[in-house]
Amino acid sequence: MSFRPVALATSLVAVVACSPPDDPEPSWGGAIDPLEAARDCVFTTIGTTWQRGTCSPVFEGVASWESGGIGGYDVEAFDVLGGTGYLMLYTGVGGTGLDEDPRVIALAASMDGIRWSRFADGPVLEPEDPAGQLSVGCTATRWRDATLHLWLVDEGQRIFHAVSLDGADWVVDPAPVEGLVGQSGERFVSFEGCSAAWDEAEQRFDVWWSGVVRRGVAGGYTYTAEVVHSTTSGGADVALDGEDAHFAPSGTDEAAFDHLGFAQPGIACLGAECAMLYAGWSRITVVGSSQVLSGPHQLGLALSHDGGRTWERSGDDLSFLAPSEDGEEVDRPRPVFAAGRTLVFLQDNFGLASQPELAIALVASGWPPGAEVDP
Amino acid sequence: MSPARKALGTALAAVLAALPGCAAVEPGCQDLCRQLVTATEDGGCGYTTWPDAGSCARGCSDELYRRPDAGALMGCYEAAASACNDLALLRCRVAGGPVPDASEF
Repeated sequence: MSFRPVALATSLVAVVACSPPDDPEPSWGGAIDPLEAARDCVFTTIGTTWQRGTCSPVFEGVASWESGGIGGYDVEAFDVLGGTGYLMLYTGVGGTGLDEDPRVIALAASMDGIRWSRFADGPVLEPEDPAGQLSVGCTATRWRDATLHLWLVDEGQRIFHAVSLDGADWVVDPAPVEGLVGQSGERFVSFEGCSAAWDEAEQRFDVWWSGVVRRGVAGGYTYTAEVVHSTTSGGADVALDGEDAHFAPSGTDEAAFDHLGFAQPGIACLGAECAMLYAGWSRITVVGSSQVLSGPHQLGLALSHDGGRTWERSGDDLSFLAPSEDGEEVDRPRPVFAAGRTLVFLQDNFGLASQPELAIALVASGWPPGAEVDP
Repeated sequence: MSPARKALGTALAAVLAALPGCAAVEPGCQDLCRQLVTATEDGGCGYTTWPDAGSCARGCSDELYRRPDAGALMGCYEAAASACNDLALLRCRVAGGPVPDASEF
């Protein structure tokens, strides 16, 4: 084909815009500071480096399938045309939010993290038994084939992997995830959340699982909630990461808010630098074979310099970030990057202790979580 | 668009993008971004994730120039924007897959 400059100029680039040299450019990827994008919400500084929106909760149970509130969830952030958009898979809790109430998995999206739109066709994954329960564990995007991946848990505490091209239609692997054990080598008594990320360099997922395990101590045993690192290519197969796989609270000061466990981890990495926010536990009671009563859930932070293999806890209790006044029962922190900030979605109880209304709030800081924003 | 034209367009966009303060903007991106950024009371979507329509258009051009399926992706974005459907916007982004590095062209 011959080359025609005039036609080419018309078809290729119609407009060339050169801004003056002093025209302020966006500081990060062309996207606006997400706190400025959240124009419907006023963010105020709490502590020294954190900001919390006055519009909390940003996502609460309003649809028919979430009358009992919002359960487990995860948020993926995407660069959309140079801006930032967010996709959330969440657990809609039916009834009044009791442990035995039904749970379904649903989908929502937002272009600012504040205003969310639900998928119009309702839940995207429901249990065969309407009274059953399916809950979101964690999600990740595999860019190799542009697929969304979800690890979910059923009422029997079995973990399954599912894959989707669009977030709405899911294919669930029939075989559950097996082989999750604690540092002691004992199997998880209960599943307490996960966090996942796609590693483009290694072409595999990193998945961090939290579970309650039994651990032998002098004169008997105790229970702790640990985080276990694994890798997987996608699917039910997971490989624990050797001896370094476990982040367990053994040796933690017994007065610490998290001395019995790290649950519901939310992990974000920039290169090899990773931050884990988690619900710290200082009380665990196991009833029967797998019913775990735990508390209070207070927000903790750990850092890793080796891609999330080994962790060092900061020891700081970040529960002051919770919008509710009791400063407890903060759960499921989900850190995401957006335009140079760390946004942290977290679950809090906006109702009464006796009648919880679980919903999602939003706080922000620089990177790593708790740092000043790099100007 | 032929591979030759596309390759030249990518090269031209890369050269322009490298110049301080200059950016090549796809005309379709301008219309798309005007719709996305314009306030809802003025008939737009009122999305605030971009400082202005120009910033969105530059991000749009950058994303589309690196895509082998730019036409289909733009169509997907335009349909989502016409309905101000943020979920559809994100589904376009996910379905479009990774944005290749410029070095891959």
